[in-house]
Amino acid sequence: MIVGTVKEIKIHEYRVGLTPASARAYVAQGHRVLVETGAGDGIGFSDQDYVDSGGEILPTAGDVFATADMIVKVKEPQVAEIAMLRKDQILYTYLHLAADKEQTVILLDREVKAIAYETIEDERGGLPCLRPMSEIAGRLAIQQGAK
Amino acid sequence: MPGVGRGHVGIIGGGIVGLNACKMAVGLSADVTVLDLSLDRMAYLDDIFSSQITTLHSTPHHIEEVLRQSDVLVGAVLIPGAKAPKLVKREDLAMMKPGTVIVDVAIDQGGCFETSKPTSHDDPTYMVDGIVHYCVANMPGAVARTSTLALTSVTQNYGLRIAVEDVEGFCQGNAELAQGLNVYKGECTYEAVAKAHGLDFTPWFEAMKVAASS
Repeated sequence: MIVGTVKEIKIHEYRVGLTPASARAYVAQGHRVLVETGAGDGIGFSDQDYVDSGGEILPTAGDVFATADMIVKVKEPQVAEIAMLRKDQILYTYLHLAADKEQTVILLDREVKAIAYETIEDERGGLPCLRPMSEIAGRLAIQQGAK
Repeated sequence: MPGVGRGHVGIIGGGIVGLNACKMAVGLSADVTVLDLSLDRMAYLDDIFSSQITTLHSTPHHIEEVLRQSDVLVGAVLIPGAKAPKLVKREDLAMMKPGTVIVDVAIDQGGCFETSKPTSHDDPTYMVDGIVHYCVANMPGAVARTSTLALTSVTQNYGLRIAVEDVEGFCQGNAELAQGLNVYKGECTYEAVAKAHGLDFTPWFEAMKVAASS
């Protein structure tokens, strides 16, 4: 499969869907990994780091969306990204659709296959992909509140 | 601080967010009260933190009690995949001490305070009736590198399976993982989302059957 990640465009969002380590894991299993240039810049992952892990750097998000079978992101797709989603493309990211009717309707309309991190369950009914962010948000909540 | 009364931290919801908020608040030597619906969860928190925190059953009465005493109030409520319940109404703010800070961690799911609306790291707070509201929708984005490493360490395992099995195989292999599928080729396959927006709900296996036969 061709797996792609792009630079997050939501304001002050520097997280990224794939790290060089994840790129390496996908490549090791025989997949292709496409990365928009600068995707990891905000957190110290350079294009070269991704190339060293077997990834391919593309100049724009549009190039990644046009080629990848699966888009791995962090935040829900923004307006510019929604326009680039292709029918039957896999979107793997946080979506939080229950609080966002507009996004829900658009994703239905685009006929994508969208897997939301926050609703994947494990055998015990836990939410494994939400847990790490909940841990961090809980800690930050007190820091912010104390300011 | 010696000679200074301890700050009061109220935490609504004792799940992962609540537990981690507890850790930090206890570390700051605050006076911490956690509200939860589950007796098992309260017993667990009580075992971990012992006399460092107070646990209370999350009833309207106890919520009011916490509203009155808190200097910082954390909304940490989650109903998986669904909109967060509005546990604190606008008129309830009048019970709170002016200048109290509300941090609504549930804001991604719509927030658990009626007066919450999403903010960004650029302009994170606003005031309603003398109460400071902090409702940044992507809080972990503030520590982006740590968050990315923590997130991808979990998402990667599932992502690799999707890459091998495709979405169809991934879901068919495990019903819990299939809960991740929210939208499939024009069908809403997650019940709580469909319900929240008055849309038709199609179980994922039905949606795949229909798509495969068309």
